Amino acid sequence: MPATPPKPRSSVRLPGRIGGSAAVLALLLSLASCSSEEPEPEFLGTPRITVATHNDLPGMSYSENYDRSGLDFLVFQHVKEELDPVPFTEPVDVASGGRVTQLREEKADMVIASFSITAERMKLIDFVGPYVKTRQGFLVGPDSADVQRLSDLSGTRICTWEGTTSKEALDDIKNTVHAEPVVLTDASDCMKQLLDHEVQAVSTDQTILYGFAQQYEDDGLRVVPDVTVGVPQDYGIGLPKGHRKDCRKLKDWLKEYVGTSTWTRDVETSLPALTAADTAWISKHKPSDPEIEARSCRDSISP
Amino acid sequence: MSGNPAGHYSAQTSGDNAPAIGFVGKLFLSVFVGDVVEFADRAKHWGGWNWPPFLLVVLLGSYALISAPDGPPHQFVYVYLAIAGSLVLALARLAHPKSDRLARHWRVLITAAAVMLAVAGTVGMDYLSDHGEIDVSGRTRLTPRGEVTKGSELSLVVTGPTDRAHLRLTLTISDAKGIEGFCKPESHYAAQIRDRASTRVEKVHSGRTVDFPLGGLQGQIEVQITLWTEEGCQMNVSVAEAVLHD
Repeated sequence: MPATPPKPRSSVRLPGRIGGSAAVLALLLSLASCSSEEPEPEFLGTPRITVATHNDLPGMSYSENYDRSGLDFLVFQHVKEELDPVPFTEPVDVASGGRVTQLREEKADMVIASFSITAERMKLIDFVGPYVKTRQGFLVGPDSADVQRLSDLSGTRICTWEGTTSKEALDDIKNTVHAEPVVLTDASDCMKQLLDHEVQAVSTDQTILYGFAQQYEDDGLRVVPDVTVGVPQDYGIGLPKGHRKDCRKLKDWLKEYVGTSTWTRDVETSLPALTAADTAWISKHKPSDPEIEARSCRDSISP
Repeated sequence: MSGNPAGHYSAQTSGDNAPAIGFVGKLFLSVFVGDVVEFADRAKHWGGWNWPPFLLVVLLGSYALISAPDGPPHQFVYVYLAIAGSLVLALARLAHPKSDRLARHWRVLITAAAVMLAVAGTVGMDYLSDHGEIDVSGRTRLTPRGEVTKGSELSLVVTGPTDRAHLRLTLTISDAKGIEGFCKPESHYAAQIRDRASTRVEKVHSGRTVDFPLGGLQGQIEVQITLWTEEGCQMNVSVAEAVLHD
């Protein structure tokens, strides 16, 4: 068998070689362009933040026909602007009793829902706050016009709802004021009972009560001025544990935010009944930098 | 000369099993007394002048340890270090009486250093007995007990003799109820020695230490405390540390 002469290098193959080189070059260029791309913005270890909030607290976290309002909602809007370009999903609703659970079960990445910072909760989740301070007060109906002092509530039924810190304070005054605490599922249940005269007062944080007083102004509901029980309540933004760098970033932003006129305007816009009732409302409700430092991004109370 | 002559440490045996018994006996002596014997051998060469400084160091060290007063352990660190150092140096000098590696003046210097450290330890302990810190946390009584609120006035009494010129005090303020919220970070107190306004301190937070000059006060010490906390807060106050010192 005669040896096959080697094929002469054909010029026909040249375009194929050029094509191959071009393909390799294109691949390299595309890889290079991939590596130089900015990484996806992340916060709390997720590329898209889900915020949980209430929907039934007028003045704080309220939703009507998919239109949200209240101080919690405004804080959420500012957080969103601060973290831009990190994308946020539409806020999800949460009940008072489910706030810690939603964070721990990763159903929400952030909770902005009139969420009081407590030592017990600090062990389970991180807080950034407070963004507003308040105290537990009393909302009464028109038939309780004579209620001016705590002792005037003697013998009455006072409603609060589950998952809040308000129940403990009512238990504390049970023996001194001789008022019967009634604990229902949520805020709307208590408001219904108050309007139906089944309870004589609703007790929770004054920020929430002033929101209800505003909403039910025509029904003659009012917050009893200067009557408070329990320890001061500090509302914070709840975050899951394990993201201290992001937590501190949010804390630094919060300290700046509460020091601006935007904060004052946000409270005035959301809770006009509260700001109108007390000219010294800023000193009572505005947190200081040391207060934010002592409560933010910690596992326990400082010092 | 071949073999080792039987000295007074060698085992003497006779009979059928004599070699075995002799071996066990030597092993026994080697294991249990061999080192001591070797040590005693060397001790024969110890210089007579090494013993008095060693005994002096042991004596001074023992006296210092026996006369140690009560008090916070941190203040005894230097005294214990001095005593331990003196003992180490004295023992080293005793164990190597005529070391070729050490010049004579170094040997003298080590002996002198051992004695000086022992004296320093003894003097230091004596000073601590007279001027050292006395932990009086266990001698304090804080009233009223239990939960206190904004404006509550408390009285802290330190019983027993006032042997020092100052009282160093650390109080802890904690929330009585942690479920509802907390007030600890903003809570603080003012305090002064009873009837001595010049000793008044203001805005002392939990865990901070304050120092009160006692100015010749005799007998029990009474500190008046006024708590400041937010309205509605219920707090517990306790003594973390109370120390008398000069």
